[in-house]
Amino acid sequence: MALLAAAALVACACLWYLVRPPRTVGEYRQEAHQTLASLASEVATARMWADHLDRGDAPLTTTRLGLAEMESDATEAVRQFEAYQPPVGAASVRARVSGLGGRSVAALAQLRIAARSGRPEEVVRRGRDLRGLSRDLEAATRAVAP
Amino acid sequence: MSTSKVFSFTLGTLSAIGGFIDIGDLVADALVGARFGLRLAWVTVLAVIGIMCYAEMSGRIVAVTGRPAFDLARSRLGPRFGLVALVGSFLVTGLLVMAELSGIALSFQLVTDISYLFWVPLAAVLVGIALWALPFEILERLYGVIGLAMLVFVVAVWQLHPDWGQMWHSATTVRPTAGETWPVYAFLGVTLIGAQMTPYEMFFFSSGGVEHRWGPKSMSEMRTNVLVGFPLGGLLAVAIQAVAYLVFAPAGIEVEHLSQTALPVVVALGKVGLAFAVVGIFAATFGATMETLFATGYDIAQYFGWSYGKVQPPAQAARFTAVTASLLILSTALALTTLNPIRVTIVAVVFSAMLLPLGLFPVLLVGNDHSVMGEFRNGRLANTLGTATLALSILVALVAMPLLVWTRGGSG
Repeated sequence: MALLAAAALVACACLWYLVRPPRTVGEYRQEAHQTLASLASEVATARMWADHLDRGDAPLTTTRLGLAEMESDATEAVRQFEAYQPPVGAASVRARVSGLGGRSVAALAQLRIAARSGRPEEVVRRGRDLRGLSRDLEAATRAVAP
Repeated sequence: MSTSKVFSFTLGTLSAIGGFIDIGDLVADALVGARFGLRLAWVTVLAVIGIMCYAEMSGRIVAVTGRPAFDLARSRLGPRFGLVALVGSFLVTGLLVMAELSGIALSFQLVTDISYLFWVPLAAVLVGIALWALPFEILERLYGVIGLAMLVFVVAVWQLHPDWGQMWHSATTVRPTAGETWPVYAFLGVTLIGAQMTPYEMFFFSSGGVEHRWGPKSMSEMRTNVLVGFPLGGLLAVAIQAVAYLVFAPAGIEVEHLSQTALPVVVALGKVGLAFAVVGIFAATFGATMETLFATGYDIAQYFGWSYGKVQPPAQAARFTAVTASLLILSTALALTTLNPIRVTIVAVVFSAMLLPLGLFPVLLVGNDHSVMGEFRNGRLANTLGTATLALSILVALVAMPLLVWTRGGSG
């Protein structure tokens, strides 16, 4: 019985560790870093799909799916980060991540809308326009690293 | 070589493509390649050697005794050990059936952009029809051969014109890349072991041998299946890691979707490459769905002593057929709950890694039993490799859960 209770306690502690929010500025910056790295990855993937649509390598149907998945992941990453209570002294980090997160989600949504509306030229053009956003995300990822 | 001779090796090809390259591997290999390049390719090499050793052992047991290894092991180790292994295996393999079924649906989604949830019931119906109507040999030949389309990942490596020196350097470096940590490196290594050395591969391979009615004269056929099939699976796994490394690592891309696994093939070979990749992914996940379903059916039927097998008409193995059909329906319902199949797979393969010793130990025990195996008992090589693999699996089982928690599922 005692063994079972101990196992249950360990399981609860593990579950808590897996879902606990960041409490310190260091942990919060770590979350910010991961969120920005994830956004940079999603934007880079979207650019790759758009680029290969332009070259005629990728069909529009699969590109549409790839772009929609990247938008969905970016939305989820930003939503999850914004749900954390920022510790004292981390407001600027939150503002930076939220700003870039909003830009990323909006840009990816525009790409997805263009793809689903059957406008491949617009997908290609908007894909090229993501270069600046990619640079900003990479710079911010480095800047917030704990 | 005659056509029938060529087709006699399709059990190994199906075991390799459906077992080695399933939905877990398709994502885990791309994820590992993007984050660590080929620095975990050595894990795949170990997994290939380990699974070959145990598949050969369980195939040899079938050829000598006409009974699967686990059936014999239960009578040696008692029903309690058998029940623990059965329950553990049932829970993990049940989760994997759901993930593989979702994998078939995801392959349809790749070419239609219609949500995979729409395709899940259709995939279940297709699997059900195939299980009910198609003979075992046709099934394994069909999916073993279609699954060869996965070789497009190997072609893509060449087409991406890699720096071979850099690839070799990456493959021979056993440490995490800059910015990554040792615990994450170890966790993804455990994930690869769990994805590539699944006990259901052995259940399927040995029970498939019973279906083929292997006898002592079938040793060379069985060994050729092992020697061709599993290294082929390993080659495909390393190729997926390599293309992800070449395309994603320079762009800092993290892999979370099946569409991303196919993207390097698009980059290398365009639409034709994508078509091959989708066909290969469909065959691999379809094969894995059948393997996991059969393995669970075999496992339960053998434990309770029911008649089983695909070579018999479904009515003559009614309880075996009912178990596989029920699991298919249950998995379809689970897949429709919108649980993320990729995340479910990653968790399932970690649990699978934890249960691995329970699957390996009985095979080693029976393979070494002189009273059962006679002159065909394990030789020195089989025992050395088998013991080393078992030791590795125990280590992996012990560290899998702490690493899962510590790294928060590999996120850092």
